[in-house]
Amino acid sequence: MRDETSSDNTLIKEYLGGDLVAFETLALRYQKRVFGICFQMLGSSTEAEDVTQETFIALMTTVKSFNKRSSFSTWIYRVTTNRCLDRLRAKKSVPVDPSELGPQGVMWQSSDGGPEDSAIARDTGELIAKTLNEIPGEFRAAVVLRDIEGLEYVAIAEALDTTMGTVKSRISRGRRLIAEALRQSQQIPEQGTK
Amino acid sequence: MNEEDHEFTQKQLSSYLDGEVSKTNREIIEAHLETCEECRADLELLKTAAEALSGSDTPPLPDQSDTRLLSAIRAADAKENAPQPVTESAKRPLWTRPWISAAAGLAAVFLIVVVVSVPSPSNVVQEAQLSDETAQRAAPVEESAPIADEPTAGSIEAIEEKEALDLKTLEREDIPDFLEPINTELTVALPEDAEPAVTAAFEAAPPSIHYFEQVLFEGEVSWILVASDNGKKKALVFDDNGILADILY
Ligand SMILES: [Zn+2]
Repeated sequence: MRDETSSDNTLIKEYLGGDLVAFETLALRYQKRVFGICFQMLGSSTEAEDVTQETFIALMTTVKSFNKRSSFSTWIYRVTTNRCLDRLRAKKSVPVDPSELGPQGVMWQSSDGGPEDSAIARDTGELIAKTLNEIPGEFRAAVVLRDIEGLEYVAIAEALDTTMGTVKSRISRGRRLIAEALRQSQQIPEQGTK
Repeated sequence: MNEEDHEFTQKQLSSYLDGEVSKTNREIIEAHLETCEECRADLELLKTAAEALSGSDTPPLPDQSDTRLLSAIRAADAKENAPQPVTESAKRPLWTRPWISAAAGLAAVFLIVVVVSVPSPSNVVQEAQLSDETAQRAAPVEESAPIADEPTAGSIEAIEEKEALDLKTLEREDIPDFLEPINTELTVALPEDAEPAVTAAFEAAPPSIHYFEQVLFEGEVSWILVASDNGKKKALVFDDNGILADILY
């Protein structure tokens, strides 16, 4: 009946018919992706796992209004980013614990080059994680979905429940902030002023 | 250098990088890039940022996180299914709810019974009761389509079987025409035990119902509920399980 290769829609249907294992299959299928977004959005592995759980529990209810004509992954992105943005708003006044960033940055950035390469990669990874943590959540969500998750603009608009125009400007603003941080850290030489 | 083109290009560079600009705009941007060093440098900078971002790996999942996720899901499910008086009705398919039955009943007798209402917050509940009564009064008219207060799964199947051969077939692009205003309006209230998804849908859609009917929508047996407010119409599509599947504008 159901197996690992069942389509998302089949699993949803089975879950709505009362089969919890179908939902669990779906959750395990998307766990890594959801966790990845949560991590990029929140900058902490512990918190990312926490919000990943929240996301799937929220999905257990909201999947009932899932729009079959958009893809389930877009729907998941939507619920995930909303959860992350909620979490960010809730802890707005709490400063990011810098001790969380260091080791995460190491894991976060692939470092299969030589020792020097990996040092630079680690620094860039840390810097990006740190900068992502500093830019407003809405910009962060847009660049995470675009540049890390590789979503199309139209899917991002759907995930963030906003217009294409807003998506464009958020990605642009987000990238500029990242670029600015990279430049200030001297990782990119100063370029073309007027 | 054209200042207007410069500002335009600055705004569009990031989208240009992703190929998300129209052909005309791309031509304007590319012509400007030829002449503007600042924009060329900015494009490089944006590219570097995008590449740095896309080069990042997702960290590995923490140890045992899948086990913890499954426990959390089971705990939430157990909580959801804890014995509660309302649980049984909350789990029923959508169209067996009194309000939907009322709407379905009304759709069936739409041409016979004309209900005119002036929607206002104070009479919404009253309207709902009215529609309930209307549906009950209408029941004898539609013996062959047994939409009763407590229909069984069998009755739904019976309806589907009866109507399957004769359902209005709709595609997405048919909807605007299909939504031509019907002068008669019926106001329904949301039942207190509605599932959050249904509540959300109804909060999104105005409660003024124009139309409710089972149709073949994009090849699938669906229910279409059309509502409007200030001339802005929405169609809610429910799948054959009574689950909200789509909201069309
Ligand atoms: Zn320029």
